[in-house]
Amino acid sequence: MFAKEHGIHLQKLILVIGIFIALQAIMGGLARERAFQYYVRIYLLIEINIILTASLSFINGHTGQFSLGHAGFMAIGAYSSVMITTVLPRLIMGSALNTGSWESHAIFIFSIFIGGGAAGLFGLIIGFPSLRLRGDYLAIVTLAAGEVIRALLRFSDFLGGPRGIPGIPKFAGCVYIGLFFMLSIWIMRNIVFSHFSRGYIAVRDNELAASCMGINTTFQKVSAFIVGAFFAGIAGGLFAHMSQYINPDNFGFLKTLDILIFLYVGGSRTLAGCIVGAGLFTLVPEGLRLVNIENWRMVIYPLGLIVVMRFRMNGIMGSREFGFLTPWKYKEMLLKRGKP
Amino acid sequence: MSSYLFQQLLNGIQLGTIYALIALGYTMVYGIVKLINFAHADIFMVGAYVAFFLVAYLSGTSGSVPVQLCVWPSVVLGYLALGSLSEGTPFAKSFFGSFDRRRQSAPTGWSRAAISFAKSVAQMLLIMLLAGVFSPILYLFTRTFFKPPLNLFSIPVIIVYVMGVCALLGIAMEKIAYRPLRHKPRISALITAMGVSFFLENFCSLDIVFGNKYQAFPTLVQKHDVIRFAGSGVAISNIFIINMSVLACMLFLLWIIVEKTLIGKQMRAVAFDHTTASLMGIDVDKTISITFMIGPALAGVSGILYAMNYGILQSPFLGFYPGLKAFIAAVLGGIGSLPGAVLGAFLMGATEVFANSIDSNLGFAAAFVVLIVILLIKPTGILGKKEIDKV
Repeated sequence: MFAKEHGIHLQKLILVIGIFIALQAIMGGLARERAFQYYVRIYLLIEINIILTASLSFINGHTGQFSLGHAGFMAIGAYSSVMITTVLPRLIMGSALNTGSWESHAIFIFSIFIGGGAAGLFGLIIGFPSLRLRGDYLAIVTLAAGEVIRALLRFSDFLGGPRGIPGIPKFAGCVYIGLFFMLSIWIMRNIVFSHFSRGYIAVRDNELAASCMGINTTFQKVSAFIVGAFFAGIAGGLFAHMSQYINPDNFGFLKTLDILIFLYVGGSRTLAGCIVGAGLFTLVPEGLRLVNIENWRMVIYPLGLIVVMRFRMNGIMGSREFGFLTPWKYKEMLLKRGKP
Repeated sequence: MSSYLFQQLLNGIQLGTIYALIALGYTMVYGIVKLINFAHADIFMVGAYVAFFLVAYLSGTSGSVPVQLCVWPSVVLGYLALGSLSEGTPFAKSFFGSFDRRRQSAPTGWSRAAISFAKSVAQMLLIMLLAGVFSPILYLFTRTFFKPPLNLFSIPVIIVYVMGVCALLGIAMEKIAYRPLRHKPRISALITAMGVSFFLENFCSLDIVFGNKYQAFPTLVQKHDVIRFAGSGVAISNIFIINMSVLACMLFLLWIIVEKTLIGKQMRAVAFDHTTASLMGIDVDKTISITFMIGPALAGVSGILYAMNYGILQSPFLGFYPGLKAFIAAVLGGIGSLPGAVLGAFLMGATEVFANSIDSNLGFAAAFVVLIVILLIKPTGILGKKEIDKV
């Protein structure tokens, strides 16, 4: 049934993956030239921002909670992975891991997952207030939690305090960020279209009704925080190993505001919205540098934000999803119902 | 030791007065339109800068009236004048979209956006024209009514001036950014508020506006201790007394407005229920505009106090952390409750000062820890009303 549509779907999927790999290869090639490193860096930042935005969409978009502490999760991920690749090796061996040997690459991949896991654990801790608080009170508690994480990082001499950690080995280039990006998007897509994720949407639409229908709202809400925090942690680890220097103030409230803007400008309920929002609003401030006169670009950028929110309240993509991100099973179900 | 703690408590209350005046605006706006107005912190900043330029003029250091005091307020004035002029005539009403109430239900899309863009360009040109008319008037007004010698009695004058500018800015902000989104999802208004906040910060840090550099705020009153408790070393400075009395005046005025006047009654009604209030013949739009006038005016006063207490204006980004803390204070006291905002602000100030006296890195976190603890014990804040879930 629907063999033709399935063929078109597969063709599109392969085409998009092919374009992505080609883009990745081009960027990997350009990264060797000093003149293009700025552009490659923006490209990598876009990928990291997309992971971050998509991870926030689990908490804010799908489950309908309102978290303002996302940069805190990112900080946990970044500091945990940097602890494994830089701080502990410096204590034990006297220097950070070198990027030459394959063992250190294995440790790096492991450390990214550890970073994600540690952030997920914090997500669990911060998810619990969501059971008791709602709306703006929850928002402000998550904000406070994020700022407490930042303040504790400033306070800890072991992790460099306010000075931060310089000299992190540059593991995360085009290859690793591309791989982790694809992996994260793939996993997040599978979660979004799973049976389990319908529970998130039920909680968002009406918590009371959802619990009456037998959905474990406690589990749904806390798990949204854990999933969101996990991927934010991964993005944080990648960010640290890309920029080679982190300090606690990288992960302040302003970073959270950036992620929120990406999310709501794109459209908070779909991965397509996250990709468009993060892509566009990372590119726009950088692109405006070309026509920059006396920092007017930072005046134009918020005006663009206001205009977009004025005319597209649900974000640029609204509730539309990219065709290639929709699983075939889901499409088939819609086709059977007669809704293409 | 106890006298040391007492002195720190006094310092905390002194800081709390600044937070209290910002928090009042947050809580009023939240109570009426259920919007976290992130741009409120930047109005606080505008208040501080306007006070700075006015004081620079009054103390004679800037020579003539600074351009900043005439041009930018007159742009805002021009916008508001255009709005109220076009309200009367149907043609102008259809032309100046943002004042037209019918547009709220009109279809939106990119073609519509293009037309609106063209309209707003025309609108902007007209505003510039009107601003060109207003700025000489404002210049003459400031020259005639504000005469240079600076003394203790010029503080009320500065306060009134700054309150006026900030109130105008508040109304304009509500009309441009928030009114079109009134009946839309709350989150889009929130993101717009962030946009307005970023806009004000970055726009004000341009060299032609306020400039992004440190400005030393001239000393209005020489700090000296008025009351000194013998033996303990605890002292109350005149700055403390000025802060407290300004706060008391503002609270008294606010109390009169909210509890004793018709407009206050309307505000309370709108905060309770928009639809029912409009059925009772209350002009909801006007009431919300007035709320957006009172809140920013209080934030402006807070800006003056901030500038007086710290004596330095770092950059137009200075409003961010005081604003954040004031917002948290409003939540702590129970958002939507005016006494709660003041109480929360004092608590916030005291916590911050105590924690800072232990370690300067701790000050920021301690306030947040207190917030988390209080909200987990009492989820709607100290004086907040309990919400009942209805099925």
